[in-house]
Amino acid sequence: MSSAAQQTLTTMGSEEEFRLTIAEYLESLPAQFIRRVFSNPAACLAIFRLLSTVGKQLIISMLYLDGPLGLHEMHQWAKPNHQRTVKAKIHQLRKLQILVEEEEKKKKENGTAEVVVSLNTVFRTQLRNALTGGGDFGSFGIVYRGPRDPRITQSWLARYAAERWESILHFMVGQSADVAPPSESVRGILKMSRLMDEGKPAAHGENENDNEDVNEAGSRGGLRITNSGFQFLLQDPVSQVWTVLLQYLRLAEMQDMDVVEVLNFLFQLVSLQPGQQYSTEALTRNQRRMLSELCDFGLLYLDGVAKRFYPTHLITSLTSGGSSAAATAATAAGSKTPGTASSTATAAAAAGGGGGGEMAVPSEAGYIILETNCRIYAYTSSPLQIAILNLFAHLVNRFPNFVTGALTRESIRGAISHGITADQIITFLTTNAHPQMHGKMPVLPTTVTDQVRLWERERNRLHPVHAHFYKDFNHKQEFER
Amino acid sequence: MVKAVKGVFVECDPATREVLLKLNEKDKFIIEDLDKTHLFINSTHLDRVKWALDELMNENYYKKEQPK
Repeated sequence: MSSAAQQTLTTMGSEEEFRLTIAEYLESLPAQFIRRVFSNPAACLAIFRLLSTVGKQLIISMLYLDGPLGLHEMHQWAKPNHQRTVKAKIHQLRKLQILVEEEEKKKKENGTAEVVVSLNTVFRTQLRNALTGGGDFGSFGIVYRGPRDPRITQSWLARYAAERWESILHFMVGQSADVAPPSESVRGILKMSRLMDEGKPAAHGENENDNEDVNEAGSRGGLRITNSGFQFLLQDPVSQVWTVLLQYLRLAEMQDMDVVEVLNFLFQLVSLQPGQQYSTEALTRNQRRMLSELCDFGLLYLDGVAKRFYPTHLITSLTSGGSSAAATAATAAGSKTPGTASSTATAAAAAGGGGGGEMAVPSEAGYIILETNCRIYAYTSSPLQIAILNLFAHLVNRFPNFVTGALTRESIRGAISHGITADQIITFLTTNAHPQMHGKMPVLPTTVTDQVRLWERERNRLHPVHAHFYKDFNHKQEFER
Repeated sequence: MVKAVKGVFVECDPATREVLLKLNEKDKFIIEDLDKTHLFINSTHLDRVKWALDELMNENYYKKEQPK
């Protein structure tokens, strides 16, 4: 399953497709695991949020129905020309075991049995609990009732998370001269997900840079970035966090940790309010271990002494539907209401408000201008972003808050030989495009996008396929056999 | 008697095929020339052929002088 998922990872760029990977993972779990996952209201709510709008609509319509509903009637909810989409969504929900199908022998005119569907009972009760605040409160995290640490504010947490995450990305890109390498568990995950692997010598003579990388890699404990690692770097932060979490799940599976517990805890963390302190008293040993491992990624801050932790915006924005960049400190502080009680309603509202805030400012993080002559101007001073640009663009000048360069044939070919596809480069440039560029449609000049694709195709002029060749047939019959 | 040969089935455009035919004159690697867009070559030479093709493409590329 990991190789299939890895393959889907390398062709993906958008967030929706990442949610599908989580869906695939959930589908692959056996029935009783799913039942245990559903018995946690936080998990139900998180899964609900991850579904598409049509899926959400279907579930909400059936949520307060106590009896089953005919499948035929559900199909009639959709307009005639959208029936296929609805049927596909119903099928998807069935695969996730949220929708349960039965044959009911009803008396119809022609006497055939009618298929009826209902929501999975456990899912239904727990989702109702999640939405109305009933049931066990503990599943949404118990707020720590002690005094607040004055140092830990929203902006401090945002900065902490950004710094940690960037240090990991730096480590991957190889700019880690001034940054300490991340901890063992992080390196383990990077290696397991094949985003990085043990250094190997360069394959072609034309790639001289690889030799230097191997030397550097030796000093960093032998880890070199791989093709999928490059693609990972070009994705938006939310997709990156999802990738890491999925890998963590697989790692947990391999270490024989209880997958359901891990999943439930992850879904719980995703529904928390950022900046709010939560107590670690009620957590099991495994969950505490997860906390410390996730802390290394900057997804939360663990205060072991006082037994509390603070989730950061990186992990809470996973299901709030934000499109591109992670919230900056300003956005995070501005759009989240200061939390008081731990009731589920406030958590849902704050996350929803945060989602709305993030979606309203996709261009706040945009900093790249691309001209029709392939020149790039990037208003950034972050070494990480400059390093990422360096992957596929030839950077010429660097100023205190500004970098210029161009997309040349060499730079794009170099990127493609590292395994980055033209589509990813184009998506990266589009998502990080400066607000000024958003005025025109399409965002990037077509000349440049076409040229990048052509350069990619130039490298792939041959399509080799391993095959057997049969010849010297005596008559046609043998061939047909 | 039917003969079976193991190799690599290559799909390419006609221009690339001509280039491969020319490269074949130096080291023989084409087992069979199928039609305008398909060839069947020896698998051991695959990497070398790709590399040689790349080189040829590079030769024909004129790089603009960087304005300094």
